[in-house]
Amino acid sequence: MTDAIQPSPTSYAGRPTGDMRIEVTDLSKRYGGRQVLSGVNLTVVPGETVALIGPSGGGKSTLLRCLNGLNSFDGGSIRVGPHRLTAAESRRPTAAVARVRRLLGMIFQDFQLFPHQTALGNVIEAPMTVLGRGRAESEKRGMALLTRVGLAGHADAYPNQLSGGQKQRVAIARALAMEPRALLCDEITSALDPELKGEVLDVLVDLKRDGLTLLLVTHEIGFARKAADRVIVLADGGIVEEGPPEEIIDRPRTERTKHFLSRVLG
Amino acid sequence: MRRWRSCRGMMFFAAVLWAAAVGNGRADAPPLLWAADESGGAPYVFQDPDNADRVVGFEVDLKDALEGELGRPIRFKHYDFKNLIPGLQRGDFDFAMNGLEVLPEYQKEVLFSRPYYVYELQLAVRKGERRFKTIEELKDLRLPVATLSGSAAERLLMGRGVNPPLLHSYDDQTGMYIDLANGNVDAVYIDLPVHIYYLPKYPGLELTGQPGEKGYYAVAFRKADGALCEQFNGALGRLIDGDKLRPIYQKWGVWNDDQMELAAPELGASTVGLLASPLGQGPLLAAPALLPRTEHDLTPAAHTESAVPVWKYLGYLLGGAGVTVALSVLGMALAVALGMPIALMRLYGPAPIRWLAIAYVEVFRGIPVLLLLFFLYFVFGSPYHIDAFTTAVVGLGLNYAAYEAEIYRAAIGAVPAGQWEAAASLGMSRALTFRRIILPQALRIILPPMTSDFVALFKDTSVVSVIAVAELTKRYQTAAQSSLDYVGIGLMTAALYLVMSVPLGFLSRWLEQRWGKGVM
Repeated sequence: MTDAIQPSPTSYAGRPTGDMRIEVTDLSKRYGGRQVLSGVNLTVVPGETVALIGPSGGGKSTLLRCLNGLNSFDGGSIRVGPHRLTAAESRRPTAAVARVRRLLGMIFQDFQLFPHQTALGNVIEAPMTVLGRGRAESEKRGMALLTRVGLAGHADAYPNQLSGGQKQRVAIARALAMEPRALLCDEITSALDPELKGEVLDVLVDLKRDGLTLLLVTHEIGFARKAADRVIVLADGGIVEEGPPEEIIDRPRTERTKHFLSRVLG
Repeated sequence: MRRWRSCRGMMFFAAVLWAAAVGNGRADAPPLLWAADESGGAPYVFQDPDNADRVVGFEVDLKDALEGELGRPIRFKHYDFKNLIPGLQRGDFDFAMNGLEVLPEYQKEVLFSRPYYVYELQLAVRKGERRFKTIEELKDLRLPVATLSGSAAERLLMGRGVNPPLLHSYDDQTGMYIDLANGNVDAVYIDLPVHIYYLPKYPGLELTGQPGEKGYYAVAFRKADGALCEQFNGALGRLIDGDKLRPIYQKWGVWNDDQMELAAPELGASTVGLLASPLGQGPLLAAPALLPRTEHDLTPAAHTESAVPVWKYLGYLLGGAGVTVALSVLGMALAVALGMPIALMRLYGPAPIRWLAIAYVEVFRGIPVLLLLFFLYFVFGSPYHIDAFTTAVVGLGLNYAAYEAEIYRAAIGAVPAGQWEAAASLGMSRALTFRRIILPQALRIILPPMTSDFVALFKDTSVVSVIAVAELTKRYQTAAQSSLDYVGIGLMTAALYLVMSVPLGFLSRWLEQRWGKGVM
């Protein structure tokens, strides 16, 4: 429809290499009559792994979707590296949305692989059509990414021939193919059988080790404790408390967090 | 039959000689276009059972005689009988001569020549019918009666209070007699020449009562073509005065003493005002006796008693199949080309554009194709002289675009919103997402209903015969009228439709498998 959300021509070659921190300033969002986010402030530094936890409806997914330009917001701003996105810019598919989105990959709870394309086809789609890269180069890089998530042998499989865990790993490879500076993961193991969650979480640990910034909405408290550098509890549209996982998970200070953890951990 | 063959041979020879004469002497005279409906049936104008490419009948012979008198070649043009008057006014041909009755309603619209035939209406019944002999008795008994739609007989029956459901109006002549023979109706009321031709073929049927209301057949012209009409009046006058119509009518078994009336001075000039009083009110000039069967049981009837092999019509029907395929493919191409933008307008357009798309779908889905074709051809296309085939393609395309738009809208809407979001998160624009991600998935959903639509359109092409496009079904009617082998021709036509539509189903399933990889 519009070329506005195509990344700027300088997006790759001239890509900023400086401080790629994510800054959320006073972000607020109403949805219908409800205040989903009310003045959220958040900074994620490069290489950091941040787990967003909290009760359902607390605004965790909305925060991620705002960061990726899938939801607009009503107040505040988002900055990723040198690119800033204001509330006004978030409402339409503007160049600002595209620039921010370009630096952030997004993984969905329900995978959303393209069913008419093979695993490799899913991975090379955006590099070829958005970045205009050649097929040979895209496939070479795509195969490397599939190898990295342990699916080199499934490159020609269609999504309906893959298990849930495999699908989610293809989705991660697909997001990585656009070379994002951070991955936004929206409850990416929630739709998986318990025995399949591990293979996806292992991939995340591997990416963290490589220094990729991760912002995870998760209900896997165990994983958060093990892998996160910082845990943020989001409830009723605001940050309740944040800190190192052992502090938040093992010694929560607020009643809200205690109540939430007692229900999740049983 | 042998007599007929030799007779036909001589006719052919004469026709060749005559054609040579015309070719030499009158090459510069522009041909006149004469319209008639050969699927209407014998003995007026019908397809030659021995040669599907030509027409025969007493009006064809009359046409030949008129050519000689006028010194101008006349070319035949097929036209749907019910639309002869609007077609004449539209300028699709120069004159209509096809058993058109001189009726006051027609006289308002067109100019009639002096009459070339005096017809009477009569009842035909199953042999042994004792219950009635007249229309009045038939009406009192509340028995069903058949006639041709748009005929003077139909008007007269309705004028006397015989209405549907007792009144059965047919588009073709054979249907009436078959239904009478089978007991679906109890009488056929129609012009005597029709009875004379068809009754010998149905041994269980006979005429009853007396020939009734009398009327005239005349040649119809546009009101503005008075000079041409006068030329025809002169030519007809010379044929009548020279007693040259008699051999033609006798050859087809439709001569009777009523025709002597054609020479009457009051019919000489023109028929304008001839039938100022409603049909049938004036007393008959003479009360002709019931025409004895033997007098009419002549050669034209005899030749059809021997079955004409069905395969003789194959080439003719194949030509119709070609027209049907061309109509379907072009019509569907237009429907798809229009349907997708309309679906997109409805899905993603701003409010006024969306309403426009909704209005299009509701209007064109709600109007019968038949009506749409009439409107396009006789109202909208008339001033521009858009030809019938183009009109047919446009009409079918406009109609089916509404159906396609709805299918596409539903299919595009059925692709989960998450697919749009996943593509957006990868930096794909809306247009790119639609083309690369949404459309390929929607196509798989679209394909089966679209194939059904194509097969439906394929069969719906039969309606375009109303604007005189001779596609397969129309050719079936014509060939069946000509051969009277409804079953044989019907089976062959059905086989042609199947040969064309069944592979479509296979193609669709193959495409579904091909495109459906990973989705099912």
